[in-house]
This record gives sequence, structure tokens and C-alpha cells, in this order.
Amino acid sequence: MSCRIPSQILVQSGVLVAGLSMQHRVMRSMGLHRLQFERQVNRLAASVVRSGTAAHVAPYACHNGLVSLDGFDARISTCVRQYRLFSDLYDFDVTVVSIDDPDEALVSRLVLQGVAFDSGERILKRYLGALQWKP
Amino acid sequence: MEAVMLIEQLGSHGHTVLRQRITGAGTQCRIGRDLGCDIVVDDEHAAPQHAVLTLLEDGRVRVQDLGTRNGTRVDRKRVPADTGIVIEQGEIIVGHTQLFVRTRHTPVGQERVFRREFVRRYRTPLAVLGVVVCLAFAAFYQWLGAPASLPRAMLTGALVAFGGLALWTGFWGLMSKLNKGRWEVRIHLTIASIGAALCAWGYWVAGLVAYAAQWSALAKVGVAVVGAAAFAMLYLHLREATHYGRRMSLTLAGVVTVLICAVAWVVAVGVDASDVNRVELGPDVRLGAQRVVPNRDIADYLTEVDKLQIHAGRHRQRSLLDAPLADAGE
Repeated sequence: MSCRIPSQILVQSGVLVAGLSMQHRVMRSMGLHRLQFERQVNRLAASVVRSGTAAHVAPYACHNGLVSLDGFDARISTCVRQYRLFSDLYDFDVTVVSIDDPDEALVSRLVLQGVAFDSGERILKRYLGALQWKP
Repeated sequence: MEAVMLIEQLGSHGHTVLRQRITGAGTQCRIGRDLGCDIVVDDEHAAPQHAVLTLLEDGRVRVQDLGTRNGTRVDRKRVPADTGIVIEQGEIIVGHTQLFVRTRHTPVGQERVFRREFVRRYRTPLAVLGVVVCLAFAAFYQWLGAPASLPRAMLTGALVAFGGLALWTGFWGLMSKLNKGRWEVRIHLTIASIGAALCAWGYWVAGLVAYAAQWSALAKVGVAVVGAAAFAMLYLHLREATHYGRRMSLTLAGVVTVLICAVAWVVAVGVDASDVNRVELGPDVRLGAQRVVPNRDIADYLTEVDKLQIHAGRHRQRSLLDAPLADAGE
């Protein structure tokens, strides 16, 4: 399931801000071995193509950990990068992968583009707080 | 006891190319390019009559330079032209030729245990074991990807692994043949296959440990493991295939290992730290696996996320220093 805000603000040539999108994907093993299935899950979580050029944004700073969410445990990877010219704006890239069930997994992703750090943090808090899943 | 000296001429790799034993006090040994010398050296930097070694009553050796322009060196010190020098043992340099002199005064150490005897004795089963473990990893890695045609993928993986081992072993076998006159295929195959198996399985196990301990930096430790195995492999190959001594083998193995580690670093850790689209998701998840580190509370996690603002700011500062905004065309 994917959701995104259909409009963004163009602040500079090639720089769109105030974007929000999220995507939830549920993977179910159909006869795969646990090792094979987790390889597919890891591949899916890492397969995202991110956009951004070195002229406009700085590299990501990331933090990840295993966290108990509502109904499941997950590995959450939160990456934040700052805009070079607009120092108040940040990109958030959050990947949540459930880790409990060897036969079923949730891979969820939240992307915030060009938002203030406080706003991004508030949305992240809300997103993680609202995320529910029962394997 | 009769005075005796042993003169060894060393080759460019430090191995002995000539050994001459001289007995009796007062006996002389002339060294030079002249065919009348006792030790004839093929060295254009040596004089026709370069140096003379005289065995003394007390068993020591007098080294005298015969007035040459390049001189004679004993243990890196130039021999005085008039008096010469008396030694019990030592390295003598004539031109670019290296000789080593030993006398009865030279202490003789105990018999050294041949450490690599085990590998030499069991080289066939060890080589087979190493190849099987390597092929097993190749097949296992293909199986992990859950390909559409499993037999074909596993066969491809096994063939690639076998081809790699064959090339590597062939290279070192050829080195062995050129330097020592023997192929030593089983020895080199043992070293290569067991080294490669340690690298491959070790790296995979490091991934499991990284997740269990939630230690992201373990990928870097994995690179170090690969580096250590590669270093040991190269060192053993060099010792088996060349005449290089321990120090030279260690140096060469070290240099090549640094290059291998650089490649492994690029593969495991990432090629470019300034890549703005690269993210670190942490160790691969292992579904339903046991973990040493307990789960964190969401509030604690968010507190840590708060610090990302500082880290992101540092990255921005660094990127501005590397490429100021004006230079970036803005």
C-alpha cells in the first residue's frame, strides 16, 4: 500500500520540498526456507532508489535499532540529511522491517522531503506510534 | 679442534646459491671476478681480486679488502683497507654480491620443528576438504537467493568458485615451478581453498553476529577478517612458491592485503562516503532469530533520533567545505 501527497513546492531548480510519502509492503513466504525469505526481505528493504544531488543536499546521517512497536518488533532505520543551501530543511528516510515472524514480514517506508527537523520528528513520532501490524 | 669456516653465497631472493667449506688455520679464500679466485662472483661491481678471507688459529676469520674502489663491507660496515677486520661470523658484501660466513664460533640452534609438516602430509585430504567447503558456500549462496532454477544456479555458482580456485592455484603453481622447479599444486590448492572458505563463511557468520549483537561496525570487522585470511594465504603462498625470506614475504603479503582490503571495504562499507543517496540500514535482519541485545523502547529510540540533527549538520558542514555553494553552481 502506498500513499503520497500529490503536490510539492519547488524552491529552486531541481529542489522540491514539503513532500511526504509512505509505503507498506507485506511479504509472505510461500514455501521458502527462513534464510531464503529473510534474504528477500533484506533485499526489498535495501532496494529503494533515492534521489538527490550533491549540489543540493549533504549525505545522510543514520541511526538504527530494534524497537518494540504496536503488535510487533521491528528494526527501524532513520536517516536524515540537511539541505546545503536551505539549512532549515531536512530529508527524512525511515525504513521499518518487522523481525518477529519467519514467514511473514512488513517492510514500511516513510519519506519526508524538505521539512523542518522538528516537523519531521513529529511526523516520525506519529508514524511510528500509529504503525500497527499483527503477523 | 680444526679451524673451519663455511662461506655461503646468497642469491637475489636470499637463498643460498653456493656453499663452500674451508678447513685448516691459515687457509685463504679469495673472492672476485677473476677465474683464479676461490669464489668467483658474476658481479660487475666487484673487482677481479676483491677480498680475501683468512682462517685464523683461533677459528675466527680475517676479512681483507684488496684495495678495491667499491670496498668490502662486513655487517654493513666498510672494511679498513690496511688492517682488515676479524669476525666470528657475519654478512660480507662484495659489489652487490652477498655472502655469509660462519665458523665454529657461530652458535648452532636446536632443531626447529617443521610447522607446515601437517599441511604437507595431509595436503590431498585438506585440498579436497577446502574445495568442497568453497563449493558448498557457492551453492549455498545461490540457494539463498531462491532462484527460479535452483540446480542451474547452484551449478553456475560452483563452477565460478571452482574456476576462481583453479586460476589462483594455477598462478601460484606456476610461480612455484618457475622458482623451485615443482608445481606443488595440492599445497597451493589447500592454502587457496581453505583461505577462501574462511573468508566466505567467516564473512557470512560475521553478518549473523552483527545482527545478534546489533553491532553495525561488524561489517568493518568482517573486512578485517577477510584481510587477515588473505594475508595468511598470501604469506603461505609466497613462502611455498618463492625463495623470499620471512620478512620479504610478510612485506609483500601486507602490501597486497591492503589492496584486497581496500576492495573489500568498497564492497562492504561503501565506495563513497560523500554519496548523498547512501543510507546505512544496519545489519541485515534475521527473522525470528535470537538476539543478544534487547529491544529498545520507542521513546528511547526517538531520543537518539533527536541527535541526528547534529550529525546531519556535521555532514552538511563537511560537504560545504568539500564543495562550497558558489562552486556548486548555485
